Amino acid sequence: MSALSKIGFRFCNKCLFIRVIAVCLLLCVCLPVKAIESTVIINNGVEKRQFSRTDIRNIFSARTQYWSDGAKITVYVLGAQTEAHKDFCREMLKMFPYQLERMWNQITYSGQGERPQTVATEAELIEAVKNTPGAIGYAYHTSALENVREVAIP
Amino acid sequence: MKFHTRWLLGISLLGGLQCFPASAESAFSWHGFLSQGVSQSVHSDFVSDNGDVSFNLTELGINMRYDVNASLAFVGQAVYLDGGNRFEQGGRLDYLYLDWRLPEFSNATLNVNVGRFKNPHWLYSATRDVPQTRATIILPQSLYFDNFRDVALGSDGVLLRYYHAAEEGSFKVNWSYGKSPMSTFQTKALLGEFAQGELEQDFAHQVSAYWQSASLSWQIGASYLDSDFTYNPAAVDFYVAAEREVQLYTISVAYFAENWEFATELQRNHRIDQGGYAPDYMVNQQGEGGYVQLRYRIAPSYTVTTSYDMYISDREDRNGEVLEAMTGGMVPAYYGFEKTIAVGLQWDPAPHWRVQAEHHWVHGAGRLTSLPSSQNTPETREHWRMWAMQVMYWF
Repeated sequence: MSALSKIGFRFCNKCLFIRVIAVCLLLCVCLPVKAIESTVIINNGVEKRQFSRTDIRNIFSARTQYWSDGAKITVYVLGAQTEAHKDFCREMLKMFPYQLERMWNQITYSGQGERPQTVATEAELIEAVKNTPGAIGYAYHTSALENVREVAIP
Repeated sequence: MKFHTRWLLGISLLGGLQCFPASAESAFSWHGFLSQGVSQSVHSDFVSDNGDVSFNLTELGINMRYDVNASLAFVGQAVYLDGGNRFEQGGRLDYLYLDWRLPEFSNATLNVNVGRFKNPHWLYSATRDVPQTRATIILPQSLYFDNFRDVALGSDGVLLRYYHAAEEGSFKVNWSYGKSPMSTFQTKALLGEFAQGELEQDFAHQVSAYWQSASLSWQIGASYLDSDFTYNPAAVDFYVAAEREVQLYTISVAYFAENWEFATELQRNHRIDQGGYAPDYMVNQQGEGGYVQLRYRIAPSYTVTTSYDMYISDREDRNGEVLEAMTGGMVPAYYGFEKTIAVGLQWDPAPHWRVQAEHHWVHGAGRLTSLPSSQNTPETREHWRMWAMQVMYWF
């Protein structure tokens, strides 16, 4: 094999390697690990219609404890170790679950408010939001939603 | 209170409260914590006088909040504490105040707290009394000086809390004015074991501002404290009448990542003492201190923490040599500073349960209140260490 063809062979191998890497990177970008998409849900009796992401953050971090009409907000969440809760924190609230836990601790143990109620399953959470006036929570099986309102976050 | 008696009290308290669970929409809510630990300071009287292993590490607390309506609430917390020489042993009312929330305007809120409020001005000052919120059992002493816990935790007066949230980040400003009652323990902590009179805090004026980025990754703040103290001597006293003016300037920064976080607080203090040892005695000095702390979550239930803490009581005398010379060698130079390296581990075996353990290596005794004198020879050496382990439950 001539020196030129050896160089060409190496060059082609290099091209192949680069292509494999490029395809892998493309797959990583195009096929990310599927997040659990959650939706904020509220009790049908809540009058507020428009929510910003800041509103949702303030409610779930327990900074906002009452609706504007004076009704008490009751927040329901799943356990801190569940993937659904972790995903809700990251995707919807844009914070890490431990940061949310710290905020709850700070607010609860300095007397500024009440931390959310933790329930075991999504079905319990939906049921609690449905049956508690002024309640808010989240769900990830949106097909199972009945008698609660989904909230669109811009 | 004996060890088993205080725990019987704690368990009864817990059992009694669990019989009356609050409903989700109730206007009344309560929470609490129970913790017991073991600690030892070796070659120092920081925890106990004899340096033995001590079970005097108990923290029991119960707090409540009653919402009168959407803008008015009564809140309070009572605790029982035993930290050996670190705190005054016994029960106390940590806070009890009226929380008045003004109507929200353009994503901004203003709360007015009247009564014994909780100090929100430093990174951990609002939760330093709650075991499960602390990164380490013993907080960095440069800022969170244990002997002054009750004075630093809150004041009797008024606190304003302004909070503005936006998509670009949040901003809060706290302002407070008040005073704290000074116990005999705190009088002796500040002035020494032979003070027989009464120490009074005339006022504590504080303001702080914090900004947090939209991603919540960064939290940056600054605070200022101005406080005066007056000492009224007893008829027969080692000290004469005295006054102390203190100003504290603090910068706080925290960064939060998914599995690790970093926090630092740096503080400069300026103090003027008049009287005390003699009517014309006067000290005008500046000290400084601060800590850096790194926490890493090695697994969902395990977090390791390491920190470096430093305190210098006089910036002009960083090694304490002038202090030693001025006291004719009675107070060793290492009482002028304190530098601590700490490592700790947190383990959360189940929801609402935590086991925490840590070890501190300390150089100096600048944050120990038992000062050597002609009538007192404390055991603390230049290099000493301490460890602690604590189990806690909260609800």
